[in-house]
Amino acid sequence: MLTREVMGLFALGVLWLNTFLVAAAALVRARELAARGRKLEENGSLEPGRYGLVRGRLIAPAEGGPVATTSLEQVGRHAAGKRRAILWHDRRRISSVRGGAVEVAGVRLSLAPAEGEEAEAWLPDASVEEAARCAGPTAFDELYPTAKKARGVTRTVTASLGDGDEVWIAGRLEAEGEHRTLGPGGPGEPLVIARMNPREWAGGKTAMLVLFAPAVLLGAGLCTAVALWPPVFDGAISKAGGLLCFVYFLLVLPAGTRARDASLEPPRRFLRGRWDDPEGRPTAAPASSRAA
Amino acid sequence: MATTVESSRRGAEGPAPAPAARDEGETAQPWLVKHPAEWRQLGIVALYWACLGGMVFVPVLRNPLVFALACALSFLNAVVIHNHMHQGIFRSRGLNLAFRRVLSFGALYPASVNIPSHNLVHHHFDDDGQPDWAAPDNVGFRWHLLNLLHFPNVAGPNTFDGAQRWAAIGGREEFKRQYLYDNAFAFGLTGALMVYDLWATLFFVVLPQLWGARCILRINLIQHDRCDTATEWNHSRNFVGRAFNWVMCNNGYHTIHHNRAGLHWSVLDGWHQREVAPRIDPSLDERSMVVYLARTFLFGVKRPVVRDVAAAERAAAASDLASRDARWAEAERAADVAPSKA
Repeated sequence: MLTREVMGLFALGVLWLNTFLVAAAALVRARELAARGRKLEENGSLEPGRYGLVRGRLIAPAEGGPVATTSLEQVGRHAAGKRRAILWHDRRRISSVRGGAVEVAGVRLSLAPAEGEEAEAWLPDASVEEAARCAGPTAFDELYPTAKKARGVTRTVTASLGDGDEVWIAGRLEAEGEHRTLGPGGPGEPLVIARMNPREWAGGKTAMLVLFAPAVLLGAGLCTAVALWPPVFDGAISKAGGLLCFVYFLLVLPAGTRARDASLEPPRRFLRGRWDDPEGRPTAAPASSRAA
Repeated sequence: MATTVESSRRGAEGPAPAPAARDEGETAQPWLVKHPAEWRQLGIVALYWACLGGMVFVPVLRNPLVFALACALSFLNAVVIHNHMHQGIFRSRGLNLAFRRVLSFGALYPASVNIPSHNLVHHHFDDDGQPDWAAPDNVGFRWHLLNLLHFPNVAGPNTFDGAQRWAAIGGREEFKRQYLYDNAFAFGLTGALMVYDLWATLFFVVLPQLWGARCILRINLIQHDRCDTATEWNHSRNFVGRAFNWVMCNNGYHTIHHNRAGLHWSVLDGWHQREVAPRIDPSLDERSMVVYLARTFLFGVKRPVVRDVAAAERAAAASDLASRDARWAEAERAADVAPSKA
């Protein structure tokens, strides 16, 4: 016979096991970020052969154009609802470093071109969101008819870093005579060009995850305490606690994935987004209709 | 939406089935259902409901045996959801929709969510540059058993977030309606049972419901971890034991299910032997899931290393299988929706 006591223990075991797993996953991610942060020791002395972090000002490549870009392919489809809108969904993303140089305390370091796994351009969310924003009614009207089709409309959002930008760069410094070049290091050591200090960024996210882990355990503890409030199983508080445990179980899992998403490096962050028709036309209006 | 799913199924079929398979489906004209084998699925669901109802209303049935049986049947209920959402069991559209509610209660999630999450996203892996919501690399513990335990904690939220984004696109109002009805029935009936007896429902209904829902998510890890999803024939792990597949309604034959999604589940074993067996790495054709689970997650501590599993496929004769892009495009056209991971 499975008594309430036996099943209550079993159910609490399920809650606690999974809460522990959510907390442990956050700590695993925190450990990854901390390890990444450790790789980003400052290389202020510009020691050759070392992967590290320098701060400087970008100099454009000789042929001009940006030094580093992050590009995200998105597919847009028309949104449900009364007003016209396009919903953007992320697809492939790539960072690239085209070349150029960086000036660090009066020393010029060339930047080796890199792409894919070997390059990361870190831009603040606001910069990427700005690049993805609807430019106005004409831009919306150009894309909306295609967004109504099943395949949707494809675009590439590109945000870049270029001449004169103050940046942090993580890379391996190689010296050949007087010429010094920053490029990717070994596996897991991409050439990072960032508007923010990536070491501080990693530290902040690590701290967030390290706090998240005990917070979710504390939440489970509070729910458990309510469920075990005497008279256990018969009292209204205990029953409310049982329900609370169930609801907490359903909420702590998405909290774990949110924490994971919030700790993704800027080049891996989800952008998504939505364009609302700048003229606020209803969905049913003819495609060509424009406010006078 | 049922019509859309049916169209999608036909569209994804690829080349016409072999005569033997076609005969099996066409000569039988059973009452109510499309295929005589569906009675097995209906029996599974009926037995599951009997277990849940028995434990709530007949306290003497609250014993480990019935509870374990209910958990096992809950997992099979989720298998039936999978099959039903690929190919409705009944001839009547109304019955198919009503049966979705029944199945949704059994799993405590809306059966309709399988349309975006499984039929349109998982079946195409990460071909469009975004990871499958239930991709194995969603988990990364060094101790592999923890990956098995934790996997639903990630794949579940990914799935429901993704389905919300998918449903926000215009023209999916019917899907949203069905999703709402599924949820209303599943949570409504569970809530009503809680009003009747809170603890009995939490312990003897909700726990089995969650067990099945979480196990069907785990299957994604079991069937695809360390496979090569970029290949045509080595993207999935199969479990080919006869008894296992009788109980599991042939869900052990996963490669052929991915490649020819429109085939009825009852004919997958023959297709597996004909098309998959000559092209698959032998390590991905497991006889027993229990042995695989024990070997991989209990006796093996670390996650298995990545291997080149596509050698058998490269050495085998070419097949008439349409390219993945072509199958995707056809499914897209037929479904009248893009298979986006929104």
